[in-house]
Amino acid sequence: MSEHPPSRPDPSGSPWPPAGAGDREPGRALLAIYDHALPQVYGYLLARCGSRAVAEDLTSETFLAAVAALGRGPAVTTAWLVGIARHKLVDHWRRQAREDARLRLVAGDVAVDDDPWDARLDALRARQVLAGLGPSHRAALTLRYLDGLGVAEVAGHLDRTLHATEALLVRARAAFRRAYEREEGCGD
Amino acid sequence: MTDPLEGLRLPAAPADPDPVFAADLRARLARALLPPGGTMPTLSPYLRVADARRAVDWYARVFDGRPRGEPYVMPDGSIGHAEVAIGDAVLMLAEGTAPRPGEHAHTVYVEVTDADATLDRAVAEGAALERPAATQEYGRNGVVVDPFGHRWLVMTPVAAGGAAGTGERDGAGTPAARHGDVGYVSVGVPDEGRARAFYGAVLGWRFSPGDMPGGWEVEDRTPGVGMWGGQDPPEVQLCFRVDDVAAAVRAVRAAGGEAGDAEDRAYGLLADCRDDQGIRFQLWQPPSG
Repeated sequence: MSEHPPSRPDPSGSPWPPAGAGDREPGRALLAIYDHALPQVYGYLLARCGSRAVAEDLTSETFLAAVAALGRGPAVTTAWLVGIARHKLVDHWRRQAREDARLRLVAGDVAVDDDPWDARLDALRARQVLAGLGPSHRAALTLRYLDGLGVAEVAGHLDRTLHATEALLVRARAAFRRAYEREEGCGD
Repeated sequence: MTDPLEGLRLPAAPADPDPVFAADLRARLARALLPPGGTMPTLSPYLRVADARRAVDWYARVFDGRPRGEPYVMPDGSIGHAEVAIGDAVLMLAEGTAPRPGEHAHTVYVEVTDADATLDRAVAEGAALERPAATQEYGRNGVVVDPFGHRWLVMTPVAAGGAAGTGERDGAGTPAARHGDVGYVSVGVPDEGRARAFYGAVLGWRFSPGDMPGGWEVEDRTPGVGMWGGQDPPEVQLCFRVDDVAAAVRAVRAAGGEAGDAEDRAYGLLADCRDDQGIRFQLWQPPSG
């Protein structure tokens, strides 16, 4: 085995090329904040969809979507993940709305007045009423009031024009009010 | 006029999910974050599709997967190879026209330690050899159709099993060295005493004194490894075996690198080179015969 050429590196050697860029860093960052971010993301979803099974599904979708978006999106933070969760929640309601639309061929929105409504809402009852609304009304009201987003942001999430979103919010508020007052009537 | 619904604003309210769910999702994330080129399952389905970009997207969305690495684009713009990581598996895709009767739309990709031996055994056991073993940049591989009509791509990756990518074998059954193989590795360090202690502890290397002062030969390594002290900054240089060192020196210069003239040493002809990005290496032509 005398095939080895005992060669000698030239002492004037150039330094190492820089080590490969840390393209796996965002992945590490995601795993690093997982334990902290998971209850935030899950809690956000659970409070809005009210079902543990749905919240778990959407939580999984959120984190896996985050993996796919790593490196393209902004820095990996809990706020970024909650933003993805919000998208997943809206997607979920959009799927539900499509299924509902298949069930009732024509929804036929009734004309509504946007009368001023002066009431103090019972939070628990309001949550129950919200859960009973149709998915598009529920999505619009959740984004606008539970998340506190502006109408333009709500429109962005729902993929509607500002005008259409304002109209949707008027109808959703009216539907909420009808259901809430009905609930109130039953409860008292 | 205040809107009573404004009072419904929800503050952030963290909630702990089921711990089993939490652990399972963490494991899924860790798998999904495997770097491209990371661990590869032994068996992978290999599908031929008409539109690989669309297929990658479709499989990734439907099966919660994600594209793995960049697709390999052929000179004609078609996709020669693409991968989707799905759970702990990898789905491989290549673009081609829809299969005609008698053709295969699916291949199973299997990694083995010795592609030649596996292909030989398959043929001996009745498989039809569709493509004999050949060495490509990613490993040595060949294709057989088994007696049940299924097509297998048998692969020994470059990194696995030591010297993958060798065709000829010598009498002892070990792969014969070829043009372009790494023939020797030179490790230059500032302090060879520390390096010997380090690599002795980490890799179990044993050293015997070399021909030159401060030089050490690592015992019984393939390819051979030599170590020298007094090299600051430290540097590792590869020495590549070539059939014709004069021709290889010309090729280095033609490709934009630098090459010194070959020098006659006890172990053959040796030329010091630098590639067009500055990496230093050597070319070595062993003595003939």
